[in-house]
Amino acid sequence: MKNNSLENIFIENITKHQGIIHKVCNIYCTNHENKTDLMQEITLQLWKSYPGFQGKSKFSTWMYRIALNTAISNVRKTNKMPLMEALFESQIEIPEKENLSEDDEDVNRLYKAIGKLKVVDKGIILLYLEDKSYKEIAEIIGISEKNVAVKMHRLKKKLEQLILSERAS
Amino acid sequence: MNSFKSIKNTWEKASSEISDDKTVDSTYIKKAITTDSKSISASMLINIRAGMFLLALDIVLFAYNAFFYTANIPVFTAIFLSLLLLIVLLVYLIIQTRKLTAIELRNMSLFETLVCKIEFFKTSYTMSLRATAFATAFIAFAANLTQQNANGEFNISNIPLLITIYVLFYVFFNSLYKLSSSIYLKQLTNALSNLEQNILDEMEHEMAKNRKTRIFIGLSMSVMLLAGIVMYFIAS
Repeated sequence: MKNNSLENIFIENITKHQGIIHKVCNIYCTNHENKTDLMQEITLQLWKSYPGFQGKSKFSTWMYRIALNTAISNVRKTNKMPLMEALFESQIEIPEKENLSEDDEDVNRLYKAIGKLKVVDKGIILLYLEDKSYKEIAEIIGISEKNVAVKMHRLKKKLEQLILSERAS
Repeated sequence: MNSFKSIKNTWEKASSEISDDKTVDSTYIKKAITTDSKSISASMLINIRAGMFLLALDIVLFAYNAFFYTANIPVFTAIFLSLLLLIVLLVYLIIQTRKLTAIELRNMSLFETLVCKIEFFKTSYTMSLRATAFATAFIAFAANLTQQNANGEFNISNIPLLITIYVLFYVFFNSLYKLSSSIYLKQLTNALSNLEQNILDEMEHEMAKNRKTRIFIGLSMSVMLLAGIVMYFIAS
């Protein structure tokens, strides 16, 4: 009975904040299969860690922490048939590109640019774009606020350059 | 023009598209929380449990054989000592599974998680793989004993050869288990080195800032000293 109500509260909270799961999956996975796996794994890890959530931090901060921990340190990299995957991706990319609006192209370029960042840097930039404070980013990643500030200064420049090179290509 | 403001605007557009995605509903969550984990930790746990199974199998086989070799004192002593060692290793693996589960449930930052997992991987997990390799090699010994236990006359004619064979068995299986897990370690250390680079960046930034401050203070003092000397000469 108690477990049932815990599950219901969990479902309600996760459904409300599901955007976090989608965003983390979008920046860490390039193909559909990996995205589905990561989404499932994040949901499972959130459920396992939920009893330990004491409300000391915001629910969204806790969710980002678990989701990023799962994406970075807990998911096995599966490279199933990379060649076939690449072929499949290129097949679906061409018609998509023709129908893309300017906005959609910008979004694609942004995702591609973030995809070129190092594994932890992706998480830091995601949190920054999500308007998390330096304090929250530091808490989630486990580095100092000062470190986040230094890192962000460099990351912003790097992301701008990557987007420019995406635009040029 | 590609300022960070426009990047933020693009991100908001992407976020508004995401907000329309309602894949994670109650049916999805209920299904996801009952599926098996595909995480690195789950794989490590499976490997440790496989080792526990092999050790348990060894213990059963050795205990079973002990009855047939009561009269053969050297072999009985070998069985008894092996049993003791196998039990110790089994207890060790049980402790490691609990340790790994505890790491998973701790509410830690990314940095702490990575450090904890790498430490576990390099120490406890490596030891667990060694225990598993040891258990695998001992299966062959247990099989030999079982094959010849009818008359309780298992004799070792060439001890150095036997030891060499088992050591080779152990080395082979240990390398095999280690190789199969090395990809996880690489993934974890890559993430950690990225984080450590962030910390080094901060240190370099701090050092550069301190250097600039020291130069500024040095220059200011020199200018003040020079000004003082000039004023002294003018005054005199």
